Amino acid sequence: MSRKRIDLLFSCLLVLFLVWVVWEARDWPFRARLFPWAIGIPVLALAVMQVGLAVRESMRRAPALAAGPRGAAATSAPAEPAAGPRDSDAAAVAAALDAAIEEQPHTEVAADVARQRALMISAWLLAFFFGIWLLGFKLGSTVMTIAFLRFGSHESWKLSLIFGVATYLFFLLVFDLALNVPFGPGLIAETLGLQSFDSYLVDPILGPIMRDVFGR
Amino acid sequence: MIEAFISGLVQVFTWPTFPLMLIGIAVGFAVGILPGIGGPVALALMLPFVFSMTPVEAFAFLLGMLSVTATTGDITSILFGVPGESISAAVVLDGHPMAKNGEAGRALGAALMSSLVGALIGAFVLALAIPIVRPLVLSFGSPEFFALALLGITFVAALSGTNKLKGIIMGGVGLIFAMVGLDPQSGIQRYTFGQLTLWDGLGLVPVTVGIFAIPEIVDLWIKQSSIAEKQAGKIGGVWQGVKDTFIYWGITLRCSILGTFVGIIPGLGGSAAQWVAYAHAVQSAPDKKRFGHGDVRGVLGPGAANNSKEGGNLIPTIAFGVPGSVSMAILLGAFLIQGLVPGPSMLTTHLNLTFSFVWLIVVSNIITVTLCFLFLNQLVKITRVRSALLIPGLILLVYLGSYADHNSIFDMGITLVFGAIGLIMLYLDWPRPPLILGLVLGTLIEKNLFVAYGRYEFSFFGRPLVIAIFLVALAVLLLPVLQEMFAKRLGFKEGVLVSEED
Repeated sequence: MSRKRIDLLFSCLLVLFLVWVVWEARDWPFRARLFPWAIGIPVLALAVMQVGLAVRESMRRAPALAAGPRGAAATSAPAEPAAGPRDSDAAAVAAALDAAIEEQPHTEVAADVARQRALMISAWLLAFFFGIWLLGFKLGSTVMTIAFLRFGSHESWKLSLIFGVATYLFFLLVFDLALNVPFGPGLIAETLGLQSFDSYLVDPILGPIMRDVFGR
Repeated sequence: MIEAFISGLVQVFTWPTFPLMLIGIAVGFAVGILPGIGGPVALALMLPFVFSMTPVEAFAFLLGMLSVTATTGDITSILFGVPGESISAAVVLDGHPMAKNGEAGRALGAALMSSLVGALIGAFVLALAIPIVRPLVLSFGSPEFFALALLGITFVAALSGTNKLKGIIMGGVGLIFAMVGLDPQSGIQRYTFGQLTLWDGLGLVPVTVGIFAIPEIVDLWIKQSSIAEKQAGKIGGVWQGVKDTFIYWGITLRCSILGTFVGIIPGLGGSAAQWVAYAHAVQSAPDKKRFGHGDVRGVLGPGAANNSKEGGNLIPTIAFGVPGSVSMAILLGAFLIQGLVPGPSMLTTHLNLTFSFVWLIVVSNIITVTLCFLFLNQLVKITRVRSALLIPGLILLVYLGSYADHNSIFDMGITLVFGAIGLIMLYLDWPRPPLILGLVLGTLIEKNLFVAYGRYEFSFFGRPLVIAIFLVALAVLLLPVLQEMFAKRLGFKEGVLVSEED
């Protein structure tokens, strides 16, 4: 699906959302309804206008656009130089911009590679979410960091483990010890009525140190 | 007033405020140098850490970080031609050619020293503005603050880059998201789907990190590279750049003042400050040939303006609760997290805190520039870190931020949902800052509207200040349309100066 079609679809979904926002408020008391309607109805009208513009755009024949979250624009490129009539100062600024644009490194990625990488990182974002939910923050973060670096980024086991241990220590030192904000043990341990899995391994080692050094 | 000014300085150096500011500076260093993680994203990621801090500690941490991102962003702009921050892009124009001509040290010296001068001037204007705006703000009531919050919303058009209609729609959607939760007037549940966790509304942190940080993580992974594809080599000649700042003192001073005033006008943002300053540096130079090929004046102008704008930016945010840039919208969120309401209380009860902002900008910039001069060669090595190694840490910060708001996994889910929305918006060129602005200002607008209505009914629309603010709001709404019309008539393209991410 082309980008313009996706834009049209997104605009239509937005209209549906706004219709629901306005409709949902219909039975509320006046004071509760006033703000949702005062905002919702004009924004709905604007969103309908945007759908009209998107329909017009999607029907227009245009050269294919490079895909990717940033679109065709290079993130680091400075603003486009102004075109049209220029006085000598504006021309000097524009000339400087032109010179700099030529110097910019090309950082664009092919559309299919970009799509593949976007899907992959989205899957990893979900994996981190479930890892933390199931195993708790300390252990889940550590496991997912190691997994991401080793299997997602193909780093060495040594580097992955170093980063994993550093992550665990960060949570332990900053949140458990410095801020005294302990995190939950995760859904699995909670369901089984256990403490966080890592505590069985770490507490016997760190327990005496924490008692002696931090008085906890 | 003078007591508060001195007390503000003392507060900066108390324990643990000062070490927290140093930590903020360290984070700001890394954020500024590494492209892909901008100041606003870093601010959003660091919001959860301020929950347990006092207001002065929280702002020492956040402002310390924000103040240095522009300065360190210049380093990569000069050495590699890749701006560390979107607000450092103009420094590339002459800074990078200077580096290629073997004058990297001179360009860095000029950028750093002009940044310091700019920051000091911005802070000075902020300090000067406080006694001036104080009587004005103290004369405001709820009708005026309602009008001001509406004025803030009208700046969405300016924050929307070239997509004004999309920006206004997103500002409205942000206002609708602000309505989620129990209605403060009648106690009715609005858009909660019967979820208890939504009774308090959508958390600012889960939404902000989702909308801003997740798309940046995806973008960082897609590019998969470190920025230092070239070696920077040994850096020398820094002292010459420092001297240039004072040889061309006129440009440094004028661009600092320009940056401050661009910062004061909500909606123009940091990107505009640097380009306006660059254009002024070219315009005011008697010989323009070397611009774009390595003229130190092309580094001094944007360098000074980038940093002076922070002081200017803080004036409307603190005094009127009108955030002029994305960073300030997120910083306004920090005010709400700390239980502070911008406006009269910031200029009376919390005057010490407000003056501490001035000192925080001054002290953090002095420390940053000193550290940059001392460890320039070592700092450059940070740019060799591969993006893949940053990603796990960033993902964890995102989830940590959303979780810490209410200790809720549900909020992490909200972050994921808003991350997907942010990604789609970025892909389709829907501006994201207006959504956050709407979410932040929505609660203030509704609260002030009902207080004003309860006290004056609809007669408050006839108050002179309310009318004046509405007229300004109308002008702000119409200005981009008029500018576009004139630009089309003159044959200029729009969107030259304003970028989304400033």
